[in-house]
Amino acid sequence: MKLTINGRSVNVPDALTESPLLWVLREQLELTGTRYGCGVGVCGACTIHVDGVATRACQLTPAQVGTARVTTIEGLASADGLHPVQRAWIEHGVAQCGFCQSGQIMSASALLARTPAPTDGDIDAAMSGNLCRCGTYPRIRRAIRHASMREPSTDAATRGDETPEGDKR
Amino acid sequence: MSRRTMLAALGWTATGLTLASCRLLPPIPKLGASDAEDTLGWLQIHADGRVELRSPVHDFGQGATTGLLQIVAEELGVAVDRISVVLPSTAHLRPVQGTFGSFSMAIHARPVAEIAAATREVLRTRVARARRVARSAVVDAQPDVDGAVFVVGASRLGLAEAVAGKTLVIDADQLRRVQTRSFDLAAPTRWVGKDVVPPDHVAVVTGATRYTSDIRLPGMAHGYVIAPPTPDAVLEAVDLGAARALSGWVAGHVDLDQGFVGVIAEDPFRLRAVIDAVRPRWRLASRFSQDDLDAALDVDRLLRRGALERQLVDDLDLDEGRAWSVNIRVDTPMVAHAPIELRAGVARWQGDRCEISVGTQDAFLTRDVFARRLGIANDHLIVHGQRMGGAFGGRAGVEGLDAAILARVARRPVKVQWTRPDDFARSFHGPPTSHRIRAQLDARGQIAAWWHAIGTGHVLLTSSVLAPWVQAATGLVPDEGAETGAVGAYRLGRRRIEVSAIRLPIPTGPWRGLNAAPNAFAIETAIDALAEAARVDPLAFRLRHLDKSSSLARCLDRVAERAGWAGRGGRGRGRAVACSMYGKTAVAVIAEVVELGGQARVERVVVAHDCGVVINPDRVRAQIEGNVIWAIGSTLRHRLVVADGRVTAQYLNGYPLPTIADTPAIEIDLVDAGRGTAWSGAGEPTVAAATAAIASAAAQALGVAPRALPVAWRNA
Repeated sequence: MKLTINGRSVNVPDALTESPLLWVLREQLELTGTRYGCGVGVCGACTIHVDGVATRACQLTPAQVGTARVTTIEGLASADGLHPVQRAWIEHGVAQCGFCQSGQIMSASALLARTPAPTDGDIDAAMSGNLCRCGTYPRIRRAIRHASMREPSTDAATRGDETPEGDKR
Repeated sequence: MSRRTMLAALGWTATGLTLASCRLLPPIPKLGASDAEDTLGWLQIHADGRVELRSPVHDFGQGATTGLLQIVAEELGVAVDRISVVLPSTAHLRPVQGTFGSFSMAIHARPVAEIAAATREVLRTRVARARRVARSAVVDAQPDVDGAVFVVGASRLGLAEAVAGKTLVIDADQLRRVQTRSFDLAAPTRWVGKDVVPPDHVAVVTGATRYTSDIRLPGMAHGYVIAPPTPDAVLEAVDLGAARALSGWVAGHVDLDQGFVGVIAEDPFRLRAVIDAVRPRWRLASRFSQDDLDAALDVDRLLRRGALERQLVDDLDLDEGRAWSVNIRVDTPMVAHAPIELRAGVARWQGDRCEISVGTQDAFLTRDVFARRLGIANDHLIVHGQRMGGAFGGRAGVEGLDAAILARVARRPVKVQWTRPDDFARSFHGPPTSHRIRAQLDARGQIAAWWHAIGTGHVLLTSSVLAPWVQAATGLVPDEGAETGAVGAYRLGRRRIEVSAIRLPIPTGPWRGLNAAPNAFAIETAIDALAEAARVDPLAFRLRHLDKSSSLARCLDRVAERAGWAGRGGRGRGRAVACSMYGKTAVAVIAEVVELGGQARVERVVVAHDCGVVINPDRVRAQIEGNVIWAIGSTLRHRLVVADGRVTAQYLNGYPLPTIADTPAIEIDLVDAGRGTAWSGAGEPTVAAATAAIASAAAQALGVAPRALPVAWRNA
């Protein structure tokens, strides 16, 4: 079958259509930015977007994705540059070991796409499923607030464009 | 503990054998700073002007690598993002001390500055010769203006021009005492002492950071070692027949004596089916319960048998008639590292030579230990340290040994990937602790007598690294991790401080801060109880027992001022102060915790932190924040329990970590940042005082006595 990942159509062999998408991304497609932290949907390290919605890649298969558009951390930036969330993450020096941060950034960018001015409660609700053992939470909160004061998401794949150079709205 | 001390304790020094040659000696870690000669390969400037730091720091993203980059930048006069980092590898470094104990900057900062400064001077000489001018005519350019490093007359030279086509690595006779710029408190610096964002954060936010599980080698197969159902289960037999018949099967390896069952498959998809088809038969040995574990290190039971194993301080006369002002029992549970990264190891062989890529805190000790386990000479094994996603103190690299064993069997490179249940079952954990503290006030309300007895599991001498015969001898050497912070800075009159480190049936070992957090929780709990008995404010009481000029007293004053300390709290809203030394770092913490629907919620944590020289204030703040969140986990969220001979947690819902919703307001005062001269670390120190302060405040808010962690698991 074919999956649409980061705006491109990719082939998934029949043998893998019922495997967790996390492994198809990491092993078959060599998109290793989506991380394996538990495999059972608890830690959030494998968070990606499916039609713009934050989703745990370990909890669904290519067959379940079907024709929906998948965005991974590798596809979040556009031709114009880093996503506002990515820029905010750098400005606030959020990361330590970095392992959870792909998932954090995907959850945060999905939050801001639907709630451009989130309250603390919105942030808690959207982000409390992304665990961080290094304790970068205070900076995650600051970076989300900072990014929310900028342009809304320019994530081309989330807006449904085929290529990063698609129409801006 | 120096190599000599350990060898003396084990009776080896009389034998006259050299360290390098004797295969009977246990592998012993290198300790201490590197000599100048050992640092020669650390810095290279390539012909195109690229700078490469072969870093001695094993990287958790803790900020020490960034600190070293800032120092190199300062000495060479080039921007931080012009310097690439190579992680520690036994292939290109001489042995360096492992990365633990928050020592990295104290040990490596000066040697890195000196090699970088020496490199600058060699470059200056090279430019002077090429341009036929005196060295004094080759002037340092203003840093970070246009990339120029030197100015000669009207010419501005970058590194590429200065290097002039010949890669620069300095050699021993070019290394001389040079003036470094990084630590000159009188002169302004461009990078050192500044909030530089780590250059690797760009890779982090784009998912480009590489961890061990991201490594791909040509022809690589995927292996897995089946964890025993309990740590002491005995492997009786294994049936690989069904597994062998599956497509994707590559090979298997069984060693009944070692309890080792490993399988290898073509890809991770078919590996799952192969694992499921293996039929190992285990004989369970002991089926110890949580009560068994508790009894093994129950400090009161140990005390009834007489003195504990090791007296740290013993100048207290145990007068039978003494009336103790405070007599408390405090317990903390076993704790897991719970890194978010699931560990992996990659290995390949060429003939009888092996290369392992794995997360480790000590590439050289890992190399030495694994070479023995594989039956090869040290110089036939290379270990490449990888960036690690957590488990601070827990990284011995066993998953790399798994990969090496299986790669030899498969005759192909092999990657081994741990699962989350593997992480709970196969890691060593921070040991439980059990404390009895008795103390007596004199007529003036000062502590005159103090008796602290500690029962705990082993911390530094862990089974994952040392051979069984060394473990058996461990009663002879101090287990310093168990004692961390037990002899603190307070003036406590006459003291008896004693420890027993018990070998437990669950592997225990170093955890963030070693036993500093449990020890601080016990000590600070007793201090609070004594302050109450003396009817003195807890902050004032602590100051009365400290040297006024000490850094700890200064931190207490600073945190009190910053937090607006007005006394302890009570039911519904707890407020507590705690302080602790970790190495030379002083930390004082004030925590405010409220009760919400029967649960404790941490609202505010204020930290005063003195670690001496601060290379990057923002990275130090990040570590302090991380320590505070860590302490919230220990005080309010998680504990490891055992049942039926094993740890019960398998996934993170069985060991709940704090989430972003648990984050308090955190305020940090870096005491004397930029003006200190001592060298101490920031990766771990805050966890001790933060654990004590948050536990105390939470206990107040919930109306319980703080006698166990997590608070409110059981009421005292």
